[in-house]
Amino acid sequence: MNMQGKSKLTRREILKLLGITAGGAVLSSCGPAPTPTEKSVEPTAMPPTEAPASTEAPAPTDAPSAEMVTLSLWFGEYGDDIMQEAFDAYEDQFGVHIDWLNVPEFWVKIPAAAAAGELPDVIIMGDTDIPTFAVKNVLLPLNEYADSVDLSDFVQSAIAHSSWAGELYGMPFECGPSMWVYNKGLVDEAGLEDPWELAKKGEWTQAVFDETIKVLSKGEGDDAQWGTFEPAKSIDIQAPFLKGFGGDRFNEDFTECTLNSEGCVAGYTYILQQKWDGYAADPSDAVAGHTGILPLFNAGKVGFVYFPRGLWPALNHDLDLGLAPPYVFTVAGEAYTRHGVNIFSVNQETEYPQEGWDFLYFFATEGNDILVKNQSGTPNRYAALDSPLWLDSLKVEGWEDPEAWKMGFNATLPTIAPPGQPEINDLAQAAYDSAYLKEQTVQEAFDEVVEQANQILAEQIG
Amino acid sequence: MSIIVEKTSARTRQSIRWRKKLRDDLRGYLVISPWLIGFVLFTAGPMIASAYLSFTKYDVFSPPRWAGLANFARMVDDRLFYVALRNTAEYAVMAVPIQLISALFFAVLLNQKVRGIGIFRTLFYLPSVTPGVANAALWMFLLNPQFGVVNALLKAAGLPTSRFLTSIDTVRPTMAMLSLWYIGTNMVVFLAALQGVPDELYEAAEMDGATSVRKFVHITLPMISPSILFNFIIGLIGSFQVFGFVYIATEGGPANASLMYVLYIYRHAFENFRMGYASALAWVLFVIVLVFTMIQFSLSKRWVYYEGGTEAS
Amino acid sequence: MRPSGTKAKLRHAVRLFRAYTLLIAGAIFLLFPLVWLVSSALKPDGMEFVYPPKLVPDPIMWENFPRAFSAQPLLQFARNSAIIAVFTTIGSVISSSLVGYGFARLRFRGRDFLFNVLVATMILPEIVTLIPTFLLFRAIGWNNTFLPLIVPFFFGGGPFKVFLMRQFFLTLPVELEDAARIDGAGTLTIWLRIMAPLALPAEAAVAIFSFIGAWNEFLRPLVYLAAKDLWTFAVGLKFFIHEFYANWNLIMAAALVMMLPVAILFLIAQRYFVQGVAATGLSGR
Repeated sequence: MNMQGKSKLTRREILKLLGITAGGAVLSSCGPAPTPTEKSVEPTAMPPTEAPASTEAPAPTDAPSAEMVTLSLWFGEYGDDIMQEAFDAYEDQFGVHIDWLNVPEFWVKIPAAAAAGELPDVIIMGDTDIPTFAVKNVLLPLNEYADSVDLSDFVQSAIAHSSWAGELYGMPFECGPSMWVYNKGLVDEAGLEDPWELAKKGEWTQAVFDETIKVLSKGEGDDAQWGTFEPAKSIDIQAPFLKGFGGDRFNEDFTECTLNSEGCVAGYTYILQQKWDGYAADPSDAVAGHTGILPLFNAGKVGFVYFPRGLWPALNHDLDLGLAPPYVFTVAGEAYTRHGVNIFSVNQETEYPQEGWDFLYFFATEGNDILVKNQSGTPNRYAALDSPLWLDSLKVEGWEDPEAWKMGFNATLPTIAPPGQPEINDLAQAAYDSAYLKEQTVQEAFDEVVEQANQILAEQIG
Repeated sequence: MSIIVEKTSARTRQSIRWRKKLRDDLRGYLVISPWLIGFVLFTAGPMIASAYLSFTKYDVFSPPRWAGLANFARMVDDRLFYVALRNTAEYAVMAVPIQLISALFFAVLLNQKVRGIGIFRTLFYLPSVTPGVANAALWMFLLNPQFGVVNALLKAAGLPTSRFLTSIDTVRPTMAMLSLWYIGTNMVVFLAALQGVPDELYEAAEMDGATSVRKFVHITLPMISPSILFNFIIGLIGSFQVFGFVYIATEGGPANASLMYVLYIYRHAFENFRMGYASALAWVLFVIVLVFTMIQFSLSKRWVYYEGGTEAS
Repeated sequence: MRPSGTKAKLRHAVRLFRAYTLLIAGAIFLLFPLVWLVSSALKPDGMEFVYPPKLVPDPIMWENFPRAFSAQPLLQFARNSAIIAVFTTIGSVISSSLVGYGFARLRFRGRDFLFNVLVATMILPEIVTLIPTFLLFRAIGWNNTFLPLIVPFFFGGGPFKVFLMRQFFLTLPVELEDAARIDGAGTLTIWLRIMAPLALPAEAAVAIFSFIGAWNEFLRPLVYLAAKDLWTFAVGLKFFIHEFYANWNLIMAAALVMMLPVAILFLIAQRYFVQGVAATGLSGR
């Protein structure tokens, strides 16, 4: 170990170390500078519909000239190019530039941005988000802007999901009712009559549905197949079942949780019974991923599933597919289904409320047309259900009868999620699991839920 | 020399010692200054902020509102708080010993001087590098009770199958087993420590006729005991912070059987917008784990052997 | 001391056999899920979850890899991750070694207390300090850059690494230091020229952990980086999953690509675990 001249060498080495450190710091600050627009913030969103697999995503558009107004926008999971087409069309018409970004994990970035006061001008919202954000005064109330337009042709359920306490807070730019997609091959094989044919005759009832899935559920191991699948374990998606048995998640003004009512218990029992009997597959019967049931269905193992239309590209198109109207329950005598809705809202703190509204309305009309044209969504206006744009896009696949879709649209009731629903949902899921595993009866499990849920509701709304 | 020493007064000796202590302090602080500065700049502030938040109601969209002990009072009555704590503790109690023992076993295996050991080391380490998302998805697939490969193999071998992640009783033990695939870090630490045990010790013991077991227990274990402590503490802290897997694979289910503490915090922070309560939960966890860790540190004085003698705390 | 002859050779062969058997068994056990990862990555679309599970895909879709690359700018993500990981590693190794040495061998008042504080900082879950830290970095203008992800690691590399280095330094004998001090060497010199080289196995471990930690980290890059061209691989992979939820084969292929650089790095770095013993040159104690 050479100690001679140590101090000199040590100093040189220290300088070397410092040099590396400084170099590291300098080089690490390399990265594009934040975009020059004033309010550019990062976007994300989680709309329930998905885009077809996109090709290489284009880079965000260049910064505009200084005079042009710019709206910053968040969204997620639509094909970048399709959205870009809509944004460009908007810019052409209104002269306002959209500075957007598309990022995963909405729920982590929103609070961070909110805490920093950096939410973008326009935010995408899912069908359960509006009340929560409205109550926190994040969203711009839109009634004063909406008064000048006629919203009656929009799917009313979607408008309902975009509002809270009588005030509009966003514009639904895309929505789709829950419909049954079924494996026609399996149904034919079982010698049953086609559900859509039955529906046209008005004979597609719950009793028929129950019988159909019973027949389709058979086999073991490699040959196992199921008639249907368990609905996603979220109370707003289970809501149509509950409603069909006369129950509802909450009371009229959302001050009380009623998940333990007779109707709800009956509804939950219905769902669980299908699982207990082996008629309904569940995500643990399938495999990983957000799609859950999709792989099993694609493998021809499940009879009936429901998908939002955006997932169509993920279906196995070699199967013989059919489209049937939504959940039909004869207990309460009416058909109920729900809509998955994608909404754009405006940030309460935006500097450009009018431009924000203009964008919202544009996107809910022309934007929707662009999405439909590109097979990225379903129409959000009744009139649009007859448009050539929609009918042509249906012809691409060819197995969806536009009349079936119409039935779905007309049977939709809103399933609004009051503030505090995520928490209540967690409780309900645990109760559902517990009831399924027969650790508790359905009634017991949901009695517990209601106790806590009422507290949560009181906190959030009050 | 001695005359001068005798004539030096007690006070002077004391002040010499005092100045030496000051020099030592200065030198010590200088050397650890990178951490200290970093701590002050980047860590302390946010930690204090989150401690403050635990006494507030903070939904992120509006400024925090002082709430005193309300969050803690709420915690006392919160059934899920106890559930989460119990789940996490149960998991940690199972996972940490599994990790320690296997990591040591593998490290010993990988410490051998055979040809191609480098390749084996890399292979053993590889699973720990799997991105969390891919790992979770993979295991959901492999452990599927009806379609998974693992149950298929078990059936073929005539062994009982398991419901793995889908049953209340088996989900936590399954997760503890799965943590085995991420012991790369522990393995590497043990490996580095094993390399530091001088061969002469083993050779001397062999000459005395020691068996492998004796060599292991009386030489290896004590010599690597600092790294055992390290892996134990790290494993403990890590087990209490398990999050990614449950978030993706089980979502806390079934029926909250895999609701781990940090998942519970995450839900309140980012789904229910209860940042204040989430911070309170985190700090309660902090205190619990801190106390436990400090106990382990003081107990460690009995069994950890440091070459340098009693320098360690 | 080393017996020779047939008996010894036999014992040697048995030992070798036992060693390889255990190694191979261990490898099979640990690599079992990875084998399926590779298998899924090479499967054609829609066949990933077929039942009964097939190990060997038919046909083997090597083109899934280029497909994954053309679907998203994976190369860009990799570049970003690499930049962050490399600088993080440099900073961590240097500063954690220094600070770890300080805690291990230097005596100063408050040392044990500060070390306890250091360990304590590891306990608080990241998500509760996420937003305050985000606000902090935003206040100094570092959001949407790599700085928040790199610079803090030049200040000790994080408590985990300091802890590791400290434990390791404590296993080294004091005599070398004493000898150096008698020669008149300063602390920095002792650290740089004696202790740090001796701690090479631990430093190699720190290097590996730093690189992997930075490479795989998801939450903080997500929050600090906005523009897509700044994303790291981990963020990109998550996004990849959102976009291609139905294409598990591509997702697995992307995940494999993400693991590859780390595996190579490890293969190179693990050599240094051997070097430590040689460098110690310990004779007497």
